[in-house]
Amino acid sequence: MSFKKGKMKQKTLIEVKALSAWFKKSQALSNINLLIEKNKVTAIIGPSGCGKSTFIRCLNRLHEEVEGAYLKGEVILEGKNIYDLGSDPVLIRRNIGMVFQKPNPFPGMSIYDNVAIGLKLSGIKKRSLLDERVERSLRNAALWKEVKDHLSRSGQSLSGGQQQRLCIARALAVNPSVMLMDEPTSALEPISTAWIEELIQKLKNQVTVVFVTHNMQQAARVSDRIAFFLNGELVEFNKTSWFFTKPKHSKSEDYITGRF
Amino acid sequence: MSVKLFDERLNELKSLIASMGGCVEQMLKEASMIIFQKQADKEKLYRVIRDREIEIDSLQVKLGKYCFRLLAVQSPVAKDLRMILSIIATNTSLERMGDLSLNIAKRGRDLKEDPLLETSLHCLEEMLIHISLMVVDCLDAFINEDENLARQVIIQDRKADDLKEKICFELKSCILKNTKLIDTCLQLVGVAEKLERIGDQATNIAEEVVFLQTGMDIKHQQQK
Repeated sequence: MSFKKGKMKQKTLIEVKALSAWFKKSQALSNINLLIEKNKVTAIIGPSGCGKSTFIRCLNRLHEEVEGAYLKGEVILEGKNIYDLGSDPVLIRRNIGMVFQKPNPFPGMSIYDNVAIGLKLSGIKKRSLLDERVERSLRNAALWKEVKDHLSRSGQSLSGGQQQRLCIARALAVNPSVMLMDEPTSALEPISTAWIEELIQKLKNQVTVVFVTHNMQQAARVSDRIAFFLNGELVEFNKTSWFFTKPKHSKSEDYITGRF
Repeated sequence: MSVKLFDERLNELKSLIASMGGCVEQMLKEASMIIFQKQADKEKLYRVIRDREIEIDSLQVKLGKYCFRLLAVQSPVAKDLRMILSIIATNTSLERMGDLSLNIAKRGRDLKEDPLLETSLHCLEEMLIHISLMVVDCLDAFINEDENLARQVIIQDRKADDLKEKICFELKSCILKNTKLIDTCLQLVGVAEKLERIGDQATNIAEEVVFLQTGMDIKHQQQK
């Protein structure tokens, strides 16, 4: 966190325009408009069922994987709508990586293979290049020192916090420009949580992070911007420092002070 | 801690601020009696003021402790955070007001009378009434979270400064007329200075009210 006033013009990486989403007849999001800045951490907060997870799943086209789910609107990444006809969801998800609530290393795969799998699927076969990218990803995920001597062990043999960092390394391996995280620390104890939070702060130098959290203090500690959702609507999008000291909207104030 | 309990704690803190403020208001009244009422038992009033100052000190410690605990366990945000920060700042201001009022009482107790001082004392009484009103208003503004009243208090501070200047001018004339009055005049200059500082503290509290209500820090803006 910096106390300095940023005078540099921030670059928008993702522009969400008039986004609405449904699960069959039930509307989960309505008319969301939001600019996500490059190399910033944006936290999505709000009560259960407000559409936080649906929102980030719309950012990498995971929403459409649910039966009966559909959406309207645009998600423009670097000038191109990810929902344009002909866009490849697999390529989009490679560029917009995702880490889930519960760490999910691929069962039966070694630590090395968990990280290398995305690279292999994208056509990289050269061993030296794979080694280099695996090491770099594990270093960026602050896991290298702990696992470098037993890369052939199963990913699932790691602790919960290590598994989550392994999943982050896996997503980083394919050089995404955005990293989505859906409650990445809710299944972790405080020390692992602190590791992940520190990691998010470091990661923003290379990727833009959007994460969902129920933990208000975590949002305050880690993010640069806050998007507060309620009943499928975006109530407030603000700088984190302002949101937690002088929120613009009374509903935001009620939510963060627990007077809901 | 539940939100209901937290709100109760905040109200307790505000009650403690009100108690401290009540003490300061009384101290100023009693200090006024010491200076301006010829029949007053100055020594007795001084002891009462001194006891009130001790009470304010103990309330300050208590309030500081409660605020510290609430910050630690509740991690307040938004208006809750601004409220606790304002209470901490107001706590300090009120304690300073208590010290200054005691100092005024001490100077008042030792004052010597002289007909030449009449005009100066009249100005001083006007200033004391003005400052007392500022104190009452800043406390009302704080307790009722009344931003408009707080802004009026801030405006009133200029008049307090002008009154002090006027008193100093009058006292200089007294000294020129009778140099034997120099000690008494210096004591009265001291009283005017302490009153002015109480006015500054009232202004600080009023600025806290604006911060509490708007999130904007307006300190030192009139100096620019």
